[in-house]
Amino acid sequence: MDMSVFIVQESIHADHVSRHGTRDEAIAAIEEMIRQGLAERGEFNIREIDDAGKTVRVFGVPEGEAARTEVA
Amino acid sequence: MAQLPSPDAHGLPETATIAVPIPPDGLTLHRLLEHETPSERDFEPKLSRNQAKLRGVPELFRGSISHWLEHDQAVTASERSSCFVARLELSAESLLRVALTEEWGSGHVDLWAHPQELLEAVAEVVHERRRP
Repeated sequence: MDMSVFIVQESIHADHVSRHGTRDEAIAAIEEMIRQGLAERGEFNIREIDDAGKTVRVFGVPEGEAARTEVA
Repeated sequence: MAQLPSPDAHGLPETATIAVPIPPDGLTLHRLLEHETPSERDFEPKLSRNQAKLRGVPELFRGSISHWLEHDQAVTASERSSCFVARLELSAESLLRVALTEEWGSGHVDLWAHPQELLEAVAEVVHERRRP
């Protein structure tokens, strides 16, 4: 069973912000910070870790991604 | 390698935080930098109290910054195709406090310290380039 966790982190230094159970929740958290004026696009990204805590990948949130996620 | 206390080993929830001084034998940690030349800015917590609250960052972690036990763990935490990783050699004779916080990933460590003290502890910066 996939037990990935999605960490919202600051893009350059990887300082952690929040932890989410799904990719969509993590994207939504970043989009919400941008909407509230608390972050700029590209300031944060998402680090996916597996159930052993190992980083699987790190990815940013392209513009419009949240809208696509909501539709899907 | 110096051992840091883990919540699991003490029967505590994964999200518990055990902050301790640097172990007597010292501690090596790794930190992602913005540029090849480290600066105090690389070791400065950036969130104000209100920013942390609005972003859902617990007050405890507003003043800490992320480090990794292993160089490779730091490299894989970066999205950049070219990143800079500082190796810090931390001695026990300091005001630093450190906690193993692996809810954020294997080998993840939160560190509380004066940025100048961390800058002075940088022993090496490695420029990593990822293959396309």
